[in-house]
Amino acid sequence: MKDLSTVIYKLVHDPQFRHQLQNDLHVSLSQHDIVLNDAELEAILEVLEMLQEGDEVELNQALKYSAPTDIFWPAIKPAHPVLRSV
Amino acid sequence: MDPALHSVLQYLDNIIASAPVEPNYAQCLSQVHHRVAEADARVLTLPLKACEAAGAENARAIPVAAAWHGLRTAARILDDVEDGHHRAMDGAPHPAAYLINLATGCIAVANLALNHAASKLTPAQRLALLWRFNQTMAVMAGAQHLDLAESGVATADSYWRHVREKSGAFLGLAVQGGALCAMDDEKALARYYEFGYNVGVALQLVNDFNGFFTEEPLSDLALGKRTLPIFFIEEQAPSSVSGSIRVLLARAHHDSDARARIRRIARRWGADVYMVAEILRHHAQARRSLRPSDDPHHVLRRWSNEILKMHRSSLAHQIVLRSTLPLPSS
Repeated sequence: MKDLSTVIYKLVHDPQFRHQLQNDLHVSLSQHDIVLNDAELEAILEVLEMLQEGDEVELNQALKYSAPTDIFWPAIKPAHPVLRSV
Repeated sequence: MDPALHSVLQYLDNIIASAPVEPNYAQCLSQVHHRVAEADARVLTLPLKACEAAGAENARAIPVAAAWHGLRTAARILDDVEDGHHRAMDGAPHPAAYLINLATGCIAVANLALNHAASKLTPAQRLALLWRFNQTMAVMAGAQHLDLAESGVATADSYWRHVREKSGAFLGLAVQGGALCAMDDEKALARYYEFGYNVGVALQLVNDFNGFFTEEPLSDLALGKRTLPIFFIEEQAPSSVSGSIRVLLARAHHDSDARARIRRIARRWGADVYMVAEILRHHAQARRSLRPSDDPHHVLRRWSNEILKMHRSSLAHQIVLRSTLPLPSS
């Protein structure tokens, strides 16, 4: 339990760690001396994907109140650190 | 109704009808088996699917599925009594006694079905089937004993033990029992058990997720149960946070505001995301348990994919929701 819960705690609280994981899961985990089995890695990948969807919803909500989405969206997408990899 | 589900319930009805039982009690027994089946039909056909995956016609596992469902119905009734849900029964003079007596009948019906199932197997399969059913019942009762002890499920270790020995072991039995009707290869049977065990843990974690994060009169939080989000916070969050949670938990039984605050703090510290990760990990572990030769026509894989798809969409929704929730003030 401990390693998986540690990774989740860190990725919820440390945006930099989360971005590292999104870029290269294996390298980031080994840098933090975290060893996960295949099922745990699969779970982390899926969670990252879900959180990314959450970010998109949050961003869409923000855009809804700030500017017309079809004009603003293409400009902001490449600049947003989470969405750059989508 | 799904024809496989109908066959299992019909089989149980025939067993009940053929026993010299008081007619009103027989009717109650039949109804309670049907109601529990309707509440969650997905797992009832699991022994049939395991039998089919292992290479035999699924009908061969109908008596095993019936026995398993009888035990499941009994366990569900006894759980309700132990959790105090029987108090909601209006009109019955002794609701707890009534329900315990109904559960006794379900266990007897399960044993009749099991005896019938065993009569169609080889002596080795028969012995293995009876041994596993009775052993699993003893293990599950032991886990429930832990839950009922004065200290209850007080640590992460005891929580995991409880989930594994109740839900994991019981779903493991469903899959292994169904496969046993088709074959007797011990190594393959262990893999079938592993599959069911992991699916069982995942299903229990989904229940515990809802029991914690959904406001209901008899939710786990309202009943004062400590489940995974609490242990996650105790293990990962600063001690001041787990201290606040302890104070709020003491009020949670009668204070909906305390429950709402506990949920907000748990989300704030990532307990919801951790539970989702554990659910997905057990689904992944289940998929990895089986070799291609254990399920050549993907019967179990298809079944677990459907369950996972359902979990994934509701859990993703929960995670999406978390970003729109206000943070707790402390």
